[in-house]
Formats: sequence, structure tokens, C-alpha cells
Amino acid sequence: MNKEEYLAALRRSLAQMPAEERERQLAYYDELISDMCEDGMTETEATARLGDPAAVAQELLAALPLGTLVRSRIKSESRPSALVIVLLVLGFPVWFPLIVSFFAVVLSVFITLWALAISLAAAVLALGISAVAIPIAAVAGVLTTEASPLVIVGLMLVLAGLCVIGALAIPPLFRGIARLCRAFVRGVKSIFIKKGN
Amino acid sequence: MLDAQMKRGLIENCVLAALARGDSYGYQIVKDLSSVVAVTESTLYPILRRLEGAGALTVYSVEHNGRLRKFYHLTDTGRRQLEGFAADWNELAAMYEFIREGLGYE
Repeated sequence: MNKEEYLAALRRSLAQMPAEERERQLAYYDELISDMCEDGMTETEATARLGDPAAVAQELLAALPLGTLVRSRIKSESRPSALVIVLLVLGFPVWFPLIVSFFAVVLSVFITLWALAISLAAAVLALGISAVAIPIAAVAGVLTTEASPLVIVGLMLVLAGLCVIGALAIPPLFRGIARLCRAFVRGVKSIFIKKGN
Repeated sequence: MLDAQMKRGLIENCVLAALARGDSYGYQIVKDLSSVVAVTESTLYPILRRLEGAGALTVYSVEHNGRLRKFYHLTDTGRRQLEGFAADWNELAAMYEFIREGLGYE
């Protein structure tokens, strides 16, 4: 593939990207190939080194923010015919709630994941507070119980132990959830990236 | 294999460090980095864009052999980010030593 063919293929694969951003990227690849040729490579060698234009385009598209992808995906569809417009208007009660619910689902997945993390953190905090509060309450006489002091000390130790175990689990859990969120965003983005150009 | 997030941060700082030696252009940056880290032309572009967006570098064009070549220039913000990274590195180096000692290396 020579430079011109490569850039044309890249342009086709980047069709859904906002025009300004697409031109910047094409200019970057144009410059790169020219520089590689000046460095002694042939155009074929240079384009081979950059890799399959479709794969390069996928990588570049995946780096765009989700909002830009969704907008560009909608814009990149070819000009709608009169029939399509009529169907869009008539179908509004159907597709509008569908779109809203799609984003609601995306949002709720995030909220669920982080609510899980926050509730665990709250539980750990509660364990810690009770481990401290129970013996204080017992000594101050606020807590009236038949239990012997030994039971209270045992209870305090159990609570403190659970609190420490929970606290140790929190950082990896938060990292795991952050990773899940990133994977989820990648998945959602891939819906909006056109395949097979 | 390095964690993807960590690797991205390292490459970003390597790009800044390449520019700290003087203004440079895409292909030259890839070549400069190739001895330290395998960065491809297509991974470099999003990094440059992100750094430009963050104000760590500015872009200007220079005519070269009848075409335009984009040069990247490290800003004060970029230099501060790089200095911050170098300062954090002392902490990482201490951890690395600790890990090696734990494994019984010299």
C-alpha cells in the first residue's frame, strides 16, 4: 500500500470521527509516512510498519470520549430519506424511551458498582466505631447488660478484627471496581464504533 | 507485563522527557523512545493530544522539504508535571529496592 492508498483507507475508517479531529490525525499520519520515507523506507515499508489502517482507526476511535462517539455515530449515517424522517417522527414514543433507558442502564451500572464499594466502606467504618464505642459505653454504664466484662472485651476484639480485615479489602476492591468501570466504558464505546470498514 | 494504566503514565512522562531535551516532531519522538519503551506511532498520537489538551505541550508547524512538520514544545506546566513525576520516583525506587530485597536479590 502506498501513502495515498493508506491515507485514503484510514480516512474511510475514520468516517465517523468529527471532521476537524479526523483531518488532524490524517495530517499526523501523512507527516509520519513522509518522515519514514526520508529516513530511507519505501512507502510500502512505512505503511506496513504503521499497521492495518482499520485497526489503527479502531484504536484512534476508542480514544475519543463517549459523548463525541455517540454524536458522530448519529451524524455519520447517510442523509435520511423522507420515509426515514417520517418513521423517526412517528416512532418517537418508541425510540426516545429506548435511548433514555439505555443511558439510564449505563448510569445505573456505575451507581450500583460504586454503591457497593461505598456500602462496604461504611460497614467497615461502623465495625470500627462499635469496636471503640462498646467498651466505652460499658465502662460509662450506658450499656446495661448482664454480660461479663470478658464477653465485652471478646466482642470488641472480634469487631476490631473484622474492621481490620474489611479495611484491608477496601483498596483492592476499589481498584477492581475502577477497572470494571473502565472495561464497561470500553464495551459501551465499542457499540458506537462502526465495524468492518 | 506492566499494568496498562501504569504503563500509559510512564510513556506519557517519557514523551515529556523527550521534549525536555528540545522541541521535536512525531517520528523523531517515536525513534527517541524506541530504545527505552516500545511505543508505536498510533499509540503516540492520543498521548500527544491528551498532553496538548492538558496544556503540557504546545504545537507549531515548521516548513520542511515543501511540507509542514508539526513540532511539539514542552510548556512550563509540562515541565512541572515531569518534575513532579521525578520526585515521586524516589518513593517508587525505595519500594523497588524493598521488593528486590524481599526476593533475596543483591
